[in-house]
Amino acid sequence: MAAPATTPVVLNDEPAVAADYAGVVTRAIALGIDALLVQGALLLLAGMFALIGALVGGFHFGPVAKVLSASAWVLITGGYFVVGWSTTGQTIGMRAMELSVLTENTLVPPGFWRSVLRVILLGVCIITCFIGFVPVLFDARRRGVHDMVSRTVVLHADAVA
Amino acid sequence: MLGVRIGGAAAKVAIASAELTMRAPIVGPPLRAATERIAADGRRARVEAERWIERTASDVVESNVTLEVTDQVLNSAAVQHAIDHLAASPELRQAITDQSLGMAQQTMQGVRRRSIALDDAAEQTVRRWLRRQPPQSS
Repeated sequence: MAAPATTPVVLNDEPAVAADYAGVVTRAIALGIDALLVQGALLLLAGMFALIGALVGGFHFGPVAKVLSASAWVLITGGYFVVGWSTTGQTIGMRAMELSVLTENTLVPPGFWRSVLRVILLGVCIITCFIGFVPVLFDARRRGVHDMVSRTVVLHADAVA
Repeated sequence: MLGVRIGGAAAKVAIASAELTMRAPIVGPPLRAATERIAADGRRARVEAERWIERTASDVVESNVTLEVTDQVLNSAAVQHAIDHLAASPELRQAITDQSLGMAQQTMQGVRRRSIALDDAAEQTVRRWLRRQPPQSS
């Protein structure tokens, strides 16, 4: 299923092995931590707005305001991942699980646009009942569809230290 | 130093003479019997003393006076001051923070270890279903 790498990736002077790449469970836990953090913070924020709204007589959102709120929600969630990946290669959840997302050939954190592409594809993978994550179980480098398209890999931090 | 040596020698002589007396044919047996009686009395006294101490300690713990005294001590200005001092102590806060962090790190270490094992197990299961060999390197 996976396309073989043209040149073997070298980590700590040794060719990378499957165990250096993060598997489906570890990645799912990291994603879960991130989702809890971001969605928890956003829910808290929304709750505060609702409380303020209730105190001043209630906010009444029209269709435009609803679309804007939903867009802001998506942007903040996506922004959290993009900022984490493009700066250090890690989100808070990935840091907790000691994972790093890096470009597959140069092994550096992905740039801004690559991170944007990856987060969009991550959303698509999640929306499609996580089908996009199935290749992680077969691929030699444990990549999901979003990793393959954005040409990134998720490695254990100690493998790239 | 010399005094200690003389004292030690005198004690040895006294013990030796006491042992000789105990083995003497006429005086020995009543003396041994008296010694054993004294030892038995001592053992009984120790058991009774222990029981008494237990009873007294239990009475003290269960007494209302103890509760009142404890309340008074806890509410006293000195204890409050000590508690305030401890609560404000940066060393104590640091110790609590370090301990909490250490526990969190240990927990996460355990989660990571288990998740890596589950990664491999999930992959091997799927590979068994599909009869595929595990990859060795990229």
